[in-house]
Amino acid sequence: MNMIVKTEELDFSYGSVKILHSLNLNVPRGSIYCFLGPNGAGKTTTLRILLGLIKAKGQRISIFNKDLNSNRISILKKIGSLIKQPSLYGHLSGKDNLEVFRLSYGVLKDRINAVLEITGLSHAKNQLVRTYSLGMKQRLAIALALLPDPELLILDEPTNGLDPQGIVEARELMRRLNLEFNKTILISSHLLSEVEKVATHFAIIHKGHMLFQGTESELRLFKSRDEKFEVEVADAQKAVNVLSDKYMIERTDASVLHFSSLRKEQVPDLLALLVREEIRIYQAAFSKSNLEDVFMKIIAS
Amino acid sequence: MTTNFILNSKAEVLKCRNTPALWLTIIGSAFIPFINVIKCLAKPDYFVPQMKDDPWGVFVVHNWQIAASFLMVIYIILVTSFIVQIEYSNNTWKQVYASPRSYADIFFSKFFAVHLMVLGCFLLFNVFIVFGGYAISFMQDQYLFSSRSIPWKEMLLTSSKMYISVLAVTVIQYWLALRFRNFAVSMGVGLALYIVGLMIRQWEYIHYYPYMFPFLVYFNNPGLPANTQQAAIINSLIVSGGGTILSFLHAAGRREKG
Repeated sequence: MNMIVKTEELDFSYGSVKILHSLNLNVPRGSIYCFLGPNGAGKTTTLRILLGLIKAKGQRISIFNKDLNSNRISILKKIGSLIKQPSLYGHLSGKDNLEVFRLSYGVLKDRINAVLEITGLSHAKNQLVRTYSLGMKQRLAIALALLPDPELLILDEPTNGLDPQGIVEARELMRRLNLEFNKTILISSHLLSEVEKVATHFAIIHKGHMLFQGTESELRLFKSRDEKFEVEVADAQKAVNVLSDKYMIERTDASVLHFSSLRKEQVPDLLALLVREEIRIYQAAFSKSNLEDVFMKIIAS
Repeated sequence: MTTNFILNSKAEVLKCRNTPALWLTIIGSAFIPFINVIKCLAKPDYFVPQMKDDPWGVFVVHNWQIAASFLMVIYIILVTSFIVQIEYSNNTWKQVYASPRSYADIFFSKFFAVHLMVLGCFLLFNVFIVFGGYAISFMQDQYLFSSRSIPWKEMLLTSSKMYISVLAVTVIQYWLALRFRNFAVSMGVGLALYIVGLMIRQWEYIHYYPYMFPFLVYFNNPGLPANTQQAAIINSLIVSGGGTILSFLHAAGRREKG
């Protein structure tokens, strides 16, 4: 697979404190790659290294198949970024903010109106940025990231501080940028629920260690391995006696039996056995853990 | 490379729009001439005889004396802090460093904007002096500004010398403003060093003290060696050259940027 970003055994320390441990990041071209982890996991440090904001000498970091340390400027020409809070000049208008960076990127003037259009800010382009709402600032920051028509967008917690409406809008914008404009998006978040609907690939990082990296379906598979089957019965003690020889019962909570490592193919036999023994069944289902639970479990383990 | 630098310098100038740096430059450059106009209009009995033979020459000196002794260094301290603070207060350094720009380009285009602002202040100061002179004549016909020629050459020479004299302070303040996120540090250190300079201005080695260079270059310095003025000019150029290189190496060498 064609990787747009690749790190090999990326290590980073602040003095004696090790922040990143042998991180192998592989971001496929055309993906929406979500970099997940709780606060302090090392996400921002990693993204700052990828943008050349932190020097990581001697590390093997390849972006667009070029070494970052020796091709920083040519790589940055093709990257749009938003690191944490929007970096905008409050005393300038939205249009002037874009003009400042347009001059740095050396792109045509038309591009300003194009990115304002994409992010839906054309109506507020002459307004001072300090009068913008947080959602508008976030959109302007994304407009700024889009200014050089980049191949890769690096967005560090772009939904931080947004209200639910703003989060939905940002998510839709990312989906559109990926599908309509073919942008590869590397996005970090500490809330899986904010990005799980839009991401195609996930990486989970905790205390500088990569705990998982793969596609959405691989994450779901990872999740299914961890799913529990639960049966609520009228007589839990009798059910335990009947089933314990054949099935692995993890625990019993009052009238609910929790089974681990149970495949869905085993469910009909299990239920049939209970029916044969005349144990009344109130409900039976695999636990509905969402990706957020998986994320929490991965981190907790 | 050169095109990038010009474009980025243009971007740095654009960032100064609506900032205290710009207002300080405009208001600061008008302040002394404005006060001097009021002074001349309020006390014609005292000033008309003083300015009878050479109204422009005396008026220019009145303005430069205040600027050179006090306000110019204060202006440099404030304007460098304000310009660098644009990035810190808006949290934009990271976006600047994540742009496809060389570290030299980032450092020097902002430094260029600082110098452009300082030069703008010098230019406006001279323009306001000229306007001030004509305004005095217009409102009080005893003054002879309108009938005498403006000493453009002397004004240009004084401005050039004074600009060279502030080069050293400008680079030191620029480095301080870049180095410390909190602008109270660069301003506080700058003001403290300036006050120390005023206190030790009779020291025999004062021509090595950058914050006193404008004072030494403008005024005659009784009690100090005869070549103090020239030494201050040369030292300002040396400190500014060396300081610029060292400041750039420090800024470019920082492990973490933005």
